[in-house]
Amino acid sequence: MKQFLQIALGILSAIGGFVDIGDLVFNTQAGATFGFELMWVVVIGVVGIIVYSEMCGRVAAISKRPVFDLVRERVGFSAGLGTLIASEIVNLLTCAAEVGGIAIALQLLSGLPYRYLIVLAVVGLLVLSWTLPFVWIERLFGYVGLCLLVLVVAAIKTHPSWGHVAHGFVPSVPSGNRLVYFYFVVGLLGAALTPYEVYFYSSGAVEDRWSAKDLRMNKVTAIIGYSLGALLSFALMVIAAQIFLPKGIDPQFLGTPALGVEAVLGRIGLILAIVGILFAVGGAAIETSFSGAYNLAQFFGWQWGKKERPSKAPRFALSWIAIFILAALIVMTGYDPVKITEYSVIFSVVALPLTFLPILLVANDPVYMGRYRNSRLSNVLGIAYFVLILAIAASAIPLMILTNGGKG
Amino acid sequence: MNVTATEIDLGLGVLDHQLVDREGRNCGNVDDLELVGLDADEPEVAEILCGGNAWRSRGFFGRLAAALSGNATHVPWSEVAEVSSVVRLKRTEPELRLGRGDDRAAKLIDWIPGS
Amino acid sequence: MRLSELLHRELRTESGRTIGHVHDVRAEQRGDRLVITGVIVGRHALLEHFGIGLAPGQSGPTRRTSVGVVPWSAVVRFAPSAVVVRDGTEV
Repeated sequence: MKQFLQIALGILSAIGGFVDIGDLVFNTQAGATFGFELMWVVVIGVVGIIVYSEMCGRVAAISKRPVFDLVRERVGFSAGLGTLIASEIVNLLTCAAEVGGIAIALQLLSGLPYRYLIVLAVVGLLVLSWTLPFVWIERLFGYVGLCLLVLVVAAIKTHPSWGHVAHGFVPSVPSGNRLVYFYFVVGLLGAALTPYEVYFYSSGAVEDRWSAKDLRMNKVTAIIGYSLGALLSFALMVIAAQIFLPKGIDPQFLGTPALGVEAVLGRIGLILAIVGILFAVGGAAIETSFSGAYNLAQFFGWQWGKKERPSKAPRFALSWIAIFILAALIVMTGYDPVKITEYSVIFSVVALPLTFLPILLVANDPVYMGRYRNSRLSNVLGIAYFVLILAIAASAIPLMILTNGGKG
Repeated sequence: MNVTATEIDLGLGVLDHQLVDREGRNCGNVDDLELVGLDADEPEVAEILCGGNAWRSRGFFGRLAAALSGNATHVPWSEVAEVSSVVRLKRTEPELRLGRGDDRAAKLIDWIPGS
Repeated sequence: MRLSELLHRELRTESGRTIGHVHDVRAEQRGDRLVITGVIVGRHALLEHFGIGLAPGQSGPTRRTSVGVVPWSAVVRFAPSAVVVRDGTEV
């Protein structure tokens, strides 16, 4: 019974934490541009993140070391440092995008000026991260993030043609501009396959002292949690397809998904959506900054841990503090937060081969994994996704430039 | 995961591995190894080099980082207790003068309540 | 000399024939001393570093498979960016 509860809580947390600002922006824009035609991409993205999450969890449970900890040992100093630098840049950009999202959500709720809310958001994140035990942080943001389920309700209430929705799960010839279509394929995959998430997950699993017997729970929680989380992505796309596409609305505003919910469910729906966004994105902000701190600490061999008292792991603590502050500064420049989000996802895609390759290598390494190294299925999937990752990494920036960021 | 092997490949099994002290605390990485007696019959590993300018021969970024840092810490190989997936040391971090970065960083946050 | 300065050097014989590159250095723990016993050369070593070609049981966490080890006794001297070994040394 206790294990069932644990799994259930883990799943809830995963759902609430699945959506971040990248998913909000890209799923909404994809729906507003191509209707249901890109649903299949979300499925591919979710399967991919499940495959790589499972590998990271397994690495953590068996080798007792998080994946990034082993990067330097496995690929050497130069490649490891390259991976670190790429990861840190992407983490920082992503954290900035999430902070921007928090500020916008707060603005929708309070009407206060955006600039002040950026400061409020970061101060809030710093205080929460410093004072609350991490398990409470995960619960708080994970459970309140579940308010996002209102998206699913709203999507159903838009009464889409379910036949057309089903069609969207089968890849087909794009109805509009082909380049823009592929830009969204890249963006949706990039929004789903987030390295910070798997590195954070891996470090957390080590701190929670997972072992071989936790592996099954790891797999189940990942599969169910992420799959249910994917429902939120589908919902975003459906709402955008039903409400924005017919009117030719180009969602250039982070709050647009919430406005979509309001159109169907009224004021209550709007509030739930904004609160859900606030906490889902807030949780993601914390994950990105801690992931950045983990990577630095693990590469340089510092003491690290979200459960450690800051004075026991001071360089680690200073790292996540610095990342939050730098992220806030980036957002304070006033640069459009939607653009920051788009850049963070696209740059994340470009760095994906570098950030995901070590996972594949380490999970296959019998030295660290013994008999728990990748099964044939894991390798087939892992390598297939890696080839896909190489393809989207190579095409991301050209597509972004050629389509002017999806505008066509 | 593994017991001490008597045969060790330095690049695979030691270089870039995590250093852990007697109390299980992370105290840096094996950034390089100082080898002595290479012109004699039995050359050996004299010291582990950690931090600071230990990186000066680890490529371009290594040189850059080394230029920005102070002196490396030298840990005599005799201080090593065990080589497994990590390099475990016989004594504690302060005794070996490792982890000074954390000491310096701690000063920056000690004043905040709750640290 | 540091380990990083020894790795990746070209390995050639006194008469100038290139055998390969130093991919790793083998050592043996004797009491408190870690004594260097040989040099690892050859393609396998590089692939193994990236985790390809390793099978469970064929190596431990600290030791590669046995291909391509040149004993230290074969080393004659160092040249700039190279390690010179006795003629007739084979991998």
